[in-house]
Amino acid sequence: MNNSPSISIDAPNSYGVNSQVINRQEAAKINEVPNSTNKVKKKVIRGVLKHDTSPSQQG
Amino acid sequence: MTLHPVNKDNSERIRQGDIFSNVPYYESYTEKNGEFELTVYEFPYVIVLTQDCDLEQNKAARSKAADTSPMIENDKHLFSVIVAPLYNSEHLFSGQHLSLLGISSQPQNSKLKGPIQNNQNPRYHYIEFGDDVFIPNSVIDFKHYFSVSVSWLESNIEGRVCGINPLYRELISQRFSNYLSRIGLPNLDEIQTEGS
Repeated sequence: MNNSPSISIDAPNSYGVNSQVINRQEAAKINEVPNSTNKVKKKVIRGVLKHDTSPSQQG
Repeated sequence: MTLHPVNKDNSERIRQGDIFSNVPYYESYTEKNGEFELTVYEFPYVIVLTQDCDLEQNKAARSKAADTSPMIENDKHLFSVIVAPLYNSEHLFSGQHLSLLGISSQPQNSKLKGPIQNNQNPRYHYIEFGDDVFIPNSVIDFKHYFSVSVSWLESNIEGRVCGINPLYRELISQRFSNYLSRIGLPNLDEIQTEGS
């Protein structure tokens, strides 16, 4: 079972990626920005909050 | 003396002077209408400035806690570690080291670069590394210090590139504390102008 939350992420338009729902692993790859090493980068991660509905957590 | 000898100690303990790569600073987190937004800055390199004895005592106290009951007397606990970013010196001198954040700085001309490279500007510490370290000539900006949780650094210990050797790291720590403890005096010229 994949526990990675779905998130959306803003990425530079020059990389052809718009905000979309993707998983965390894909987000990490998209944020590898070539030719910008040694500079501080900014990431904005957005997503939908989910309640834990596993049986052990229910009343 | 800008060449800083380093070590590549593989111990699990975080040490003063350790340099980590790709360290996040969580600027903000908000929740609204069932959605969240997290803003993160990722710093290519940071140096640990927290006192080494504090880091050592914290590690030792937590090791004891793990061995015995979950409740233990521990007055050495650290939540976070003070770090400061290392900027590529050429980027900083050009004023473009924060360009990906939409921030530009005043370029440093040769008259301003000299004091930085000679570590005579209290805000900055200039570092050159030996051939065994793949980090460009860098400048620590003491004004940009922030903290990182101990647990994040320990979980990402493989991100430690190297550690600045003793004496050199203490020099950096001393210059950092001197910078933080500076006293800003009022500008008497401005006060007199306003009062006249």
